Amino acid sequence: MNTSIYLDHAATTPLRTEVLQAMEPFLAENYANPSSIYRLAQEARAALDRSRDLIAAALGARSQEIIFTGGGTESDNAAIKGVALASRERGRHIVTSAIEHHGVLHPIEELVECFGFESTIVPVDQSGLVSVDALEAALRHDTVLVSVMWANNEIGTVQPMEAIAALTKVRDIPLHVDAVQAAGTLPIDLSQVPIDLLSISAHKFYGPKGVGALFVRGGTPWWPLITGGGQERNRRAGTENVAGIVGMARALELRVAEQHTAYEHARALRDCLFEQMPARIPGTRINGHTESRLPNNANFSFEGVHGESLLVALDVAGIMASSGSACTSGSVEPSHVLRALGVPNSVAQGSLRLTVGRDNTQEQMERAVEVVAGIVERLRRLAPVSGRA
Amino acid sequence: MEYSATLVDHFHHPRNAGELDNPNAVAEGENPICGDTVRIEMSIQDDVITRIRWSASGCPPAIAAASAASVLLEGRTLGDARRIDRAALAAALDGLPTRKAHAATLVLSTVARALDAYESGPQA
Repeated sequence: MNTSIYLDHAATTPLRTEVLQAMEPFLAENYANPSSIYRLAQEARAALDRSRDLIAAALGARSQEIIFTGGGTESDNAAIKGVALASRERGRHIVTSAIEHHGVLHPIEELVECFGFESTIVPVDQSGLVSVDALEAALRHDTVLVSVMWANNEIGTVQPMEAIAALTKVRDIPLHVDAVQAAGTLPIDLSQVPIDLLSISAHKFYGPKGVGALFVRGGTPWWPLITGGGQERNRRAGTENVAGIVGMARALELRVAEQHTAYEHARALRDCLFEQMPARIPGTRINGHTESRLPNNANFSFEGVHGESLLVALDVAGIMASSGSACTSGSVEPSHVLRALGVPNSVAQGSLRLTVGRDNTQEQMERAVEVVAGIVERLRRLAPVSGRA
Repeated sequence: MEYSATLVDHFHHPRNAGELDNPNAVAEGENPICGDTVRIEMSIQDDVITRIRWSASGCPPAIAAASAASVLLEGRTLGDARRIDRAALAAALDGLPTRKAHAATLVLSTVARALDAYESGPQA
């Protein structure tokens, strides 16, 4: 009854046993550098090639369009800087959305501050959806890159990627998509959607941490972020993380194979939270879109309750979750995502993100609702009733 | 976790939370930037804080600081109570992260205002 419940799958997911088994040979007996020429190294090279094929197939891409990286943030950085720096002669304008991951927003800020680029940050509506019309209006003759995430990490809002891709395709502007939260959960077919660059991260789909991939469509302008070796066809230098890459490929292969059932499993559990939490706790608000949303994401705010207090109390009760705000040096900093949605600070500071995964059960959801309800009631009882002083 | 076991214990099992029937020293404080609020109610007799109750809303350090302050303050003379500073309160919590020092400041400034109100009032 008192065993812990992990509800933070958007932060990271547990490594699957099958994935660990696939990785083990390359953590132990086969330690070879895949760039070497002896047989052991060629076996490692073959494992890399197979992994690349598997990942390409899972995404509807060609194998040579997959670059292995050190994770989602590196993929985002490499895509943003790679395209922008290679396109400087053509223009210096980048368009993105207000709710991107910092792995996208910060490199764009860096390009603006250090390399003379300009950026347009397109707002989102109160559910977190990017307006395709607003995106279109932001495009200029010197726009060299558009970057919009497929699904948001905090509120789970899924963007209209096909419409966005159609827009950039017509104008011949490279489109980067941060699919770190979407990969493995939503169907992605790059043979059908004209996306030019796409970031994924293994540990978000039950693979290992510290490894990711970037899809770069053939012909996309490219400037390598990391240099000093010919690996990845000169697009990303450094000895490959063979075990990590093998694990990532196996994890994505397994995740895609079970995609439909995993989607329904997650959605049923998440909908249980959506149904029970507001019914059980007065003053509950659901943040984000109700329909166009990742199946495993729930994001709530509880009136009059501080998110960090909720998280610390949940941790004591054995429930692992996350919040969208942090109270630092006397100021609450709601996440840029909740701010972009127009959520008032007083509401944003009580936000709670619960993201479910393949091992969660209905009973766990029911227990989570009861535990959250108890904590919210306790915290509200401790609060002053204003106006009595 | 970045918080000490003592701080978490005060947060999870707050001491002296609630209200008094007839307090003679009361103040409410708020950090307008982060939204933390605290209310202090005390019964003072013969220059001694005989009972103290509090209510608070905010991050765990705000609640824990109110709880630990109430333990430090109960039974103290007003002079001793005013000498309890941020370092003493942080020590009572077995440490308070620097970025959360504002929680202790809010509690102690609210206590000071309650004492000011008492000392300037007719009951002093």
